[in-house]
Amino acid sequence: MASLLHHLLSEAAQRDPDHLAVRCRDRTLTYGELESAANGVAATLTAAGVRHRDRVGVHLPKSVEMVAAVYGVMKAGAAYVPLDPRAPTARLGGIATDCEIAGLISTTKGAHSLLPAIEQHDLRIAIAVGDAPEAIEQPVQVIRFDDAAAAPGEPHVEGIDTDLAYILYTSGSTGSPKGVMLSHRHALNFVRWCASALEVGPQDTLSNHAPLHFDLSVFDLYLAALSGATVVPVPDEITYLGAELSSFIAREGVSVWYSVPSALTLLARTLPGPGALPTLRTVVFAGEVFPTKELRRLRELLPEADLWNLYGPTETNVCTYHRVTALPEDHVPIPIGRACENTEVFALRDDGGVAGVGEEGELFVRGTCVMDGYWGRPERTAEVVVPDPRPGGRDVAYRTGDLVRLRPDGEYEFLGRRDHQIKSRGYRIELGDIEAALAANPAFLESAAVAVPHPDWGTAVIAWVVPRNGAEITERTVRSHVAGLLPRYMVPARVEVVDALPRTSNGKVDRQQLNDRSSTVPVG
Amino acid sequence: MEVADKIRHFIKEEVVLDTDSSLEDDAPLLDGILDSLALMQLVAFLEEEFDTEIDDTEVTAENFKTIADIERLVDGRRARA
Repeated sequence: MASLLHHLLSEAAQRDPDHLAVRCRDRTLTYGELESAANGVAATLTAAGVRHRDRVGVHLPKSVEMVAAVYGVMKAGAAYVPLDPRAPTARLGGIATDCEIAGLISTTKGAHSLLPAIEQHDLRIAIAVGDAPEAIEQPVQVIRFDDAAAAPGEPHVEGIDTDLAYILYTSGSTGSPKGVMLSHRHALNFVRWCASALEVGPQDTLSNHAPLHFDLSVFDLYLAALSGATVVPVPDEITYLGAELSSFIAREGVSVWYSVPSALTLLARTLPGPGALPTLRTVVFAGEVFPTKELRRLRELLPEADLWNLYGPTETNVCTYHRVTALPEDHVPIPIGRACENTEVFALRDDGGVAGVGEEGELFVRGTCVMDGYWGRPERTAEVVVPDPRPGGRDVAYRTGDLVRLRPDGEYEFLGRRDHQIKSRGYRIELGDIEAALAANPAFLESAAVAVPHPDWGTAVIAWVVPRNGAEITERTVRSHVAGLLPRYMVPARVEVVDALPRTSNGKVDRQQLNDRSSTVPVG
Repeated sequence: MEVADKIRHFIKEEVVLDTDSSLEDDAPLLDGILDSLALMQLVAFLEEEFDTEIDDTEVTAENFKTIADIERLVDGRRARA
């Protein structure tokens, strides 16, 4: 049985080498070809001096080369570090420097701009997709990707399943990104659960919408390999175009789709009616709360599709799931569900006791899914990976900072971030509650609630609302809508009606930017 | 100002946030310049500036790949109006 992620590729290649492994734009690789390209990349990295347990940056757009690159890095015994090609060079240079990458796989153009921003001396090789890498003037060996992929030989690096497979950098509260370290075992445990829960097989075609630096890509790439299915990375230029995403699913015959809810909302707006995407049998979403109103619309348009809500911070990838059956009323969010296999979740009340049914608490996660820590930051790691706080607890648990409530059916409801819990005029308020109320109004396309400090009340809530096309929305209509659903003290103090909410590169609503903008809004 | 110049001005002022940058009519916009937020802002701008409505199904790569493509979309609307 596979104990390392790249074993999944080797096994698939052995079972059916001619089966299509990856297709992106007009390029395809069979499992046999992908295995061979990954072996070539691994042999090239190894020959250049990349060693077991090193790190290699992968700085590539969506492409067949991106998939071959991550397998090549792991086959060399190293961990891959996704570097978002859309991120500023200085930030990427900082990440590459922080985890001391020994190799970089990029495009010729990308390597040209990124290499000078990397300030460390362990970098031994750059592999560049494209022509004329010799144009790069660097004190580092640069090899064309095609030459690397064609290199003969099979790598013989033997690792174990607790070795790091990849490091995902997420924004840190202090402003410099922190690298979440994840092992082969971590990802394998997850995709094995997915394969059995979603019943994925060689006949399936999986989308890859999320960028490589977002952990949704782990599902796409390794569930596909485990199942011997085909993965189709969504070209970067259509990521945010709903109409193009619908055509992509139809054209590529995607059967299993995984993305953030906002991408599905964009896509749903362009579907002519139910049955437009007949191949799509399973739709999985994660990363933010899917407004129930939008989810209902999606379900009406995709009546045959199975819908799954997955939950988990990057530090645990995915730790709970909820299979969508009946939908609650529009202002009630769907639950995050129950623990995945080989995972335990529990919530601790403020007084330290384990939350029972109906009680609120901070969610803790135990199991293989918990990260190994933040790269080079043991103190920061120790703040969140803590000894299991329950009586008799023997190992560690990850404290998510997320507030949840246990329902009588054993599923958890997400209530908001621990740091989003606010008190205003003495009342305790969950911003998620206000957001659910906002989301229930069909005239509001998107909305968010943000807390800002207030000299008199402690905190004031500002609502941000994007009107649906043509809807006439004023501060007054928004406040009176919320007042119709929630206690008066939860009605936002101010409402900003805007054309769009800011988003991060992952497609999530950019809470930081919203907070920053909210702090400049005058509150009476 | 020509249609293309108005679009260019908006993208430079509101999206790129760098008025000195050159943005040719055929520069690719969908590979790094326009993200989801910028696309929505741009569509709202086009609707208001050129007094037209752009349906979600029209926000395609063909129509938004370059400034020249957006100009063609807007000109097509105005010819029909």
